[in-house]
Amino acid sequence: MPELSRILHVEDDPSIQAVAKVALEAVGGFRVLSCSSGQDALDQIQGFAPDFILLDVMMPGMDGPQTLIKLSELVDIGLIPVAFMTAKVQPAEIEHYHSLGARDVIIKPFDPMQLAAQVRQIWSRVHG
Amino acid sequence: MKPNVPPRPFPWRHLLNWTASLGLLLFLGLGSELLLQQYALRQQQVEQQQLLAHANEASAVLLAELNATLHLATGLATYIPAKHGQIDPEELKPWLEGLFQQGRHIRNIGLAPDNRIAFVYPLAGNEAALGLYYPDQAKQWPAVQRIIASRTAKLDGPLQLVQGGTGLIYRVPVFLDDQRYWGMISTVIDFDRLYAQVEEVARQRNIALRLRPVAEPISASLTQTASEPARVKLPIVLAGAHWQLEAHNLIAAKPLPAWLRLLGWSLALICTALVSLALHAQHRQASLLLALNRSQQQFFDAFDMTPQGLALLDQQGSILAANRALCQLLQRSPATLLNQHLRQFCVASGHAQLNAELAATTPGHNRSWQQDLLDARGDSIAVMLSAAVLNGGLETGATRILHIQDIRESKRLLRLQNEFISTVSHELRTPLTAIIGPLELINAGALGEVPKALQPMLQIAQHNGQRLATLINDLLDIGKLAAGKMQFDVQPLALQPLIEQALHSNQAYAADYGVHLRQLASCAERVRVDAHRLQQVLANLLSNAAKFSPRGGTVDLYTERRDQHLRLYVRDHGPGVPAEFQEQIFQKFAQADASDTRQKGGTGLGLAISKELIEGMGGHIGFDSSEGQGATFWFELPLAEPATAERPA
Repeated sequence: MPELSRILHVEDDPSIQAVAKVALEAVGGFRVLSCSSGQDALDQIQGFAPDFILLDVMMPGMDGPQTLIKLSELVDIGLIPVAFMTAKVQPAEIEHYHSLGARDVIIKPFDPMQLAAQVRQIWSRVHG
Repeated sequence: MKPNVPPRPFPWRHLLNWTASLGLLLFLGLGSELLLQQYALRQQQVEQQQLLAHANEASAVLLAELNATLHLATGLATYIPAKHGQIDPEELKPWLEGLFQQGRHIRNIGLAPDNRIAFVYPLAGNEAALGLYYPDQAKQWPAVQRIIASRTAKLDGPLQLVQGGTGLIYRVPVFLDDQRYWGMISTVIDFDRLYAQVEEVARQRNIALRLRPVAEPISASLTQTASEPARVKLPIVLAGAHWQLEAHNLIAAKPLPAWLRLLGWSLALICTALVSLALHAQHRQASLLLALNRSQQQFFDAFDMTPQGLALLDQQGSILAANRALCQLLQRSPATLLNQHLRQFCVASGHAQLNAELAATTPGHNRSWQQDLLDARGDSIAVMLSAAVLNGGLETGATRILHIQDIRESKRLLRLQNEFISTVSHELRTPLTAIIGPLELINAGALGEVPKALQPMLQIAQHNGQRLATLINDLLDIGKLAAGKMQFDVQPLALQPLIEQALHSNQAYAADYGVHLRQLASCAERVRVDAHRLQQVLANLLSNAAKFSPRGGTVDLYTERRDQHLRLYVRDHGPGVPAEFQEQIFQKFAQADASDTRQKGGTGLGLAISKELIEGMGGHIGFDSSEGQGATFWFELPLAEPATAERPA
């Protein structure tokens, strides 16, 4: 199983951005690049070369699903798992996320102490 | 709708009916009286005609008998001039004998040349008359004189005869060829015998007769009064004699029998009763018809004025009737809808569904489905259609009634509600995540050691942040449950891993209360459940149990198979549920201690939500508790494979 170390986190809310960054770096020991918009993520993904992508759903301008579609044109999301982080978790919505190629959905509000473990679980499911 | 009561007839209507009936009774009764009167009158006329006929008959008999007799005398009167006044008794005698045999009523015949009776036949008994000279007879002479002067034969009488009895005297003056007066032929007729013959006829005809001479000729008359029988008077004129023959019926005319009149009135009464009954029945039928019409009109009005769209469809789906609301909804006139197939007003993509739903609507099986209709401008209208087959229309085939409800507004509200829930979820949870997350990280020591003085404060902040998050989640869940918006992803799942996950997730919370959560025996069953919702329910039950357990106590979790269900128990050893609270424990915001100083926290929504969630997954929830003995909450879920599942070891 390949090692998971670089995580791209796309989130417009700076507070959540900061919490997730601490949770993943301090608790999980990953390296995290936080992007404030979908466009930001598209601009930086190739330079950062993430192993895993966490995408917020509701963002101004380009939302999470739109960002995922654009990202999939740039990288192979079959190898780089994408998970949405959202409070919008009605069954129809979750089904929609999966249809776009997302591997899982992490429900907001997330538990910062559990976030790293959840990410690892998805990673091992994809690459295990 | 107002109950349909036929209008009460006014009192004057009754009066009118009675008056009409009475009038009819009188009309028919009096009519029958009139008829009977006419009948009686006719009878009377017949009787009178009969009486007249009988009287004429009697008169004819009388005249015939007299005429026959008088002719004899007349014959004799022509004999004398032929003999130039010379009479030969020997020659006369055999001839008179013959005459007597023919003229039965002749008593005698006397010949009186120059007014002196010289010849009497028969002589026997009449000898006294021989030689009688008329001028000497004071009584007879004036009459004889008048006869001679008039040169005409005359009949006299009836009068009392010298010989006894009643007789008629027929005197014929005889003049010779040279107009010289010869003398008189006097024939005495036996009136009693003659009249007896007439009376015999009268007796046979049941009439009474009276004949009397009158001075002047009379005319025939018929009289009748109410109290007396009919009486007829006939004139009889013969040979200068004027008589009146009066006749009346011996048998009195019968008055109309009373039973006939009674019968008339009875028939009138029966006719009136029948007519009244018929009129009454007709009136009743008319008012029933009127009530029926009114009722039909009311139903039609109800159909037409219902604020929801209504239509009647025939078996093929063509519109037989459409109410105003439907016309308004489709912005079309009724004429453009009638006899058109409903399909023409549906968006093309819905035609197959429409046909399928209409076909599936059978008697007793009503259908409801969503469909998009098209109005006259081609705009799509989202509607809820409900169809039912009308019973009893054998001749009309399977007519369907279709209810059309415009659901555009409710759809819009639903969309707004969904948007609201999504927005609230996002907007409330995002800042909470940003509050709780850092606190959790700090408190967990992920960012390094926290100064001791800060630790309790930061823990209080995290704990209350989590309470707020739970409250928001609960409120959103309640909102979704109330709106029927909660979606369940029910799958057949093994229960044991879910139990383990729940115990693991809630152990830390229990530890805060110094309580240990444990499972008494492992569970092998699979149940039909939404894993996420089950975790929510178990979190509620386990945290409640921990919250109400004494410090150092345990909360026991165990399962039991019950028929087609699996029952999961969560037992605590706390104070139990107060009796007065047991009724309302599953209601929203229910807390046994709702005072400001209450010892236990919580929103009071946990059990209400758990109940809705369990029922949403096809199970049910309950508890057993007596105060002071702890409480055991339980819920049942349907087994995934009831037939093959094995009992736990």
